[in-house]
Amino acid sequence: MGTVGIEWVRKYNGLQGDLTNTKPQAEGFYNTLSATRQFNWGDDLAWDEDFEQLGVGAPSTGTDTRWVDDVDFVFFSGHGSADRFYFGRNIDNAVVVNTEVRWGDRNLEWIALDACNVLERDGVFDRWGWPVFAGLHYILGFHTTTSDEADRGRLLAQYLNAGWSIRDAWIRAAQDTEGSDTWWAYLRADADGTDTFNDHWWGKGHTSSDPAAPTILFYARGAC
Amino acid sequence: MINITFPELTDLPREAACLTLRPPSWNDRTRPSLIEQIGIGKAEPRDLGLWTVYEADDRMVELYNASDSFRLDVRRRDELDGAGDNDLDEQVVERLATDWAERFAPRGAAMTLRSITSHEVLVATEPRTDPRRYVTGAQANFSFEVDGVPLLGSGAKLAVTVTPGLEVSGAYRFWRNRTAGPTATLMSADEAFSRFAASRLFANLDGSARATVTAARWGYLCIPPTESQRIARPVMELRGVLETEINPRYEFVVYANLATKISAEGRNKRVIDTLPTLITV
Repeated sequence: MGTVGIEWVRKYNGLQGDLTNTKPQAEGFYNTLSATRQFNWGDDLAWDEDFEQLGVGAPSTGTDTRWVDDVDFVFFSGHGSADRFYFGRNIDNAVVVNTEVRWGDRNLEWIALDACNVLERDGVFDRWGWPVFAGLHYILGFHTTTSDEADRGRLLAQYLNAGWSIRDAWIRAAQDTEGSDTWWAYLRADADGTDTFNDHWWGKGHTSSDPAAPTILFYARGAC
Repeated sequence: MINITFPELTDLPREAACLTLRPPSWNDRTRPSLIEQIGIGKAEPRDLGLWTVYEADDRMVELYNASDSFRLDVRRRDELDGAGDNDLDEQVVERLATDWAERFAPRGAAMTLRSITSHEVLVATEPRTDPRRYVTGAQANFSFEVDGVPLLGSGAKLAVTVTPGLEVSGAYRFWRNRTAGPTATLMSADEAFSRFAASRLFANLDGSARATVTAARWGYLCIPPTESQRIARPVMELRGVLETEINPRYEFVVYANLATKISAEGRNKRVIDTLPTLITV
């Protein structure tokens, strides 16, 4: 059985507007996915460091090997923009910037960033592609803004549990919960001998070996 | 106190009938009929909880058990299966998609083509080089109105995807049948804007933040097709931008309750008093 962790932020402590449904959204995923639950950090207990690699970027603090990169699937729910996503407590700088992360060199296969605009198309490979993918299979997210809603995490988990592939589950969960002005998006890595297109949640079908040194990246987007 | 700019909203009535939504009409007659109409042949149904799924060859139809919604999906080998280099001709896509959509459009609602959007795939094989762009299809996005009032949210829409080979490779219709329900007294636009300004979104921001509501409209909120919904209530959809020092452009979409009073008794009152989580104001 795979492992899962979530982080969510409703309370931004004046840094940004507070949100309403990030907790039920992320916990819907956590409590529904057929998985071993490893961590659930919310509000002031959700820290940017948990996503960042020690010694990479600035600030160079990072503990991803204990948290985000120590599980198979991570779901984040909060504010985002094209090259970063935001936290409410200032541990090092309250943001995860693309230059601070290397994912998958320990464990992480899939990460859903349920936050606005993180996977905006223009320049996406330079932000989140190379060298963020270090064994990671997918980043799931949005090209556009998204609504502050409560159901998507649970639905994503229900699709995964029912045997849909990772990409099909994300697209369906996004289309089920957003109007057509919102665009789903994902980034995917492959390498010699891997087949992440057909990835499924652990125990629900084919799961590729890790693209530790990716040779090709795919970005896909479409309207919800 | 944060400064918020609002648009004019002049078409808000004082009262509006809520929509009472009927349970899905799926049964041993309607399910096979739809499957045959889609052209999937003699597939056996699999009940997966939220969905009943029919599969034959490379085609899959998913019926949503909680609403009169369904999805057609034609499976692909990978993202680039059938991809082309150029965007599809929108007039051709509109004709093909409208033909398909009209066969499955629900009765009692006006359907409008809102947009045609490309399904894109970008492929990169090394850092700092321009990725190659492919087009895997064009999606025609339709919305619904009832008596001139838009249905908002994800639970009422229809989309058809056409491939570069001009075949329908995917589609969905999210819908619930409805009748006129209890009458709701609506607050004024100014009252709704005031409640929005006092909402959680702005509660902890100081005067350095700025917000602009760029579009506001009223309609009936329809929640995801996976969920049971008994009543669609009048809401205001507010779209805009919130600027803070750390995030200079947060584009929000928020749904605000408009009903101050809905006439209902007994069991209906319990349903009416429960607001969907998507209503955050």
